[in-house]
Amino acid sequence: MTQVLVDGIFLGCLFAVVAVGLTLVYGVMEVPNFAHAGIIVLAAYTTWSVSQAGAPFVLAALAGIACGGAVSVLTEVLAYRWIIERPAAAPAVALGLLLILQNVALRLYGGAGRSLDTPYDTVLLRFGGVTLPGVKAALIVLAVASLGALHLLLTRTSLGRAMRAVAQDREAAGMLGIPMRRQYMLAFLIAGLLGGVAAIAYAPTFQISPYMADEVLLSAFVVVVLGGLGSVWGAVTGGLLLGIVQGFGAAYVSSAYQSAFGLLVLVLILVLRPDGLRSTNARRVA
Amino acid sequence: MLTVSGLTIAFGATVAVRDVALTAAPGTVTGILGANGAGKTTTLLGILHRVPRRTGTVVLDGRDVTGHDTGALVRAGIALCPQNRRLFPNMSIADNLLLGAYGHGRAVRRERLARTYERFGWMRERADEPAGRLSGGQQQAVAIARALMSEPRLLLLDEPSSGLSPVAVQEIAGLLAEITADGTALLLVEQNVGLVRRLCSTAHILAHGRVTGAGPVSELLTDDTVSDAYLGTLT
Repeated sequence: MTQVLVDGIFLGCLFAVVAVGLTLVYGVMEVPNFAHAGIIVLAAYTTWSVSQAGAPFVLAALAGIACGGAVSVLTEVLAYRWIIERPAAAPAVALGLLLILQNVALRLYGGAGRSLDTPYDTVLLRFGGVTLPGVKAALIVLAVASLGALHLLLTRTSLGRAMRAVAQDREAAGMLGIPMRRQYMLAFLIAGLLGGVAAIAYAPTFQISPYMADEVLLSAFVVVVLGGLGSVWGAVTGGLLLGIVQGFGAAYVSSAYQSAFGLLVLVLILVLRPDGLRSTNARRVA
Repeated sequence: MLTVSGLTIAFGATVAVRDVALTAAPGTVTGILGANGAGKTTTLLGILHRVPRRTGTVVLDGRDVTGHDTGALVRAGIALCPQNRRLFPNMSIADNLLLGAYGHGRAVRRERLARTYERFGWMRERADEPAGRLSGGQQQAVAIARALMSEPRLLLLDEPSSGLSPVAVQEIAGLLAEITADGTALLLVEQNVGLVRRLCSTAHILAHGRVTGAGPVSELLTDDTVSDAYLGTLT
């Protein structure tokens, strides 16, 4: 049972890292950023390419994370920025961007799956009857560190405070002289960096392909709704909840219905608490 | 000293404010009066460049700031305390206040926060409480204090008495008198005639986006036609 819980936490951390990126962008700009899956794909391929070129894994991982941040900012500058006054267009633009990014990956790397080797592939942690592969332990550490850093940024810095203000009331934030474009760009940068973190966490466990992140994106959107749109800590809570429920469902009922358990939780939360776990009347980031 | 001239604001084909001219001197409260939909809020938003201006110039202390964006205008010394307060309800009082000094260094922000707490002791005691939990009067005080965190030379106030109890209105009136005494120019949009009488030395009457009258409040508000048409029955 503890083993199932730890596996669920691993899955939950992955969902949380992806979902926080999505909810941050949604909170600040009200964009359902489907292109996030494409950013994860390009970040994963970048990590793989740099690693294949003989660079140390840490350098390859940093390159992947940086790629995630850069591509994410590009999507904001080249696409989302131009439709800020036309929010109804955002889902279509997001889907279009996803297709573009996936096809860039397909063109550059082909459709065959690639596996990413890490220095901790062969590490196996054992404690109290629980076995945790090194790649999963690394993800949990990376997720906690990333989300902790994000928490500090949002709560302890002027930039983070401004981002939370924009997420709660964009016009009121503008009246105080807070520059909106900088906030949008920052939200996309952070989301992209988290996408990069998700990529290097996801790639060693699963295979890298242009469509590798489609399923995790779907789960992450479930998490975003579970946690309350725009709520970072709702996304963390929702991610862990979904990961643990899916883990237990797969272990004790059937792994064939793993995703279905997540959707069941979503339906229950929407019936019992329609605004999500951590949502309040006003949207918020943090 | 604020001098606005020829200010015209339009949303597509609809002209909301047409050729408005007004001034606000340091250490005085200048009223903008008018019925709902007259263009009072739009005028304030136009001065702060929150709505697109078609024509007009905005000069602050002899410096033409017409083309500046809102951030530059705030740094130049204009702050807005908006209608309905527009605090960030899920953020703490301290965070709301610090946002008023956005763009300044950490040391400046902390120093101004300390000065705000000296003026409003209760805000220090409740600094970590979400602003949304405060009463209407307290929220208005935080909204004004937040605007003051940028240390403005011109404070734009949009109906600060709206939705407040008579006691809270008196407290806000006292606070605004203090701010004026410090030498800050106040441009006050208000429908509470008692507050206008108490605070404003001069006023401009807006109707259908145009200035239809201007002068000392003592003269404007003795004209029953003006009072009844734009402000309702005097109290």
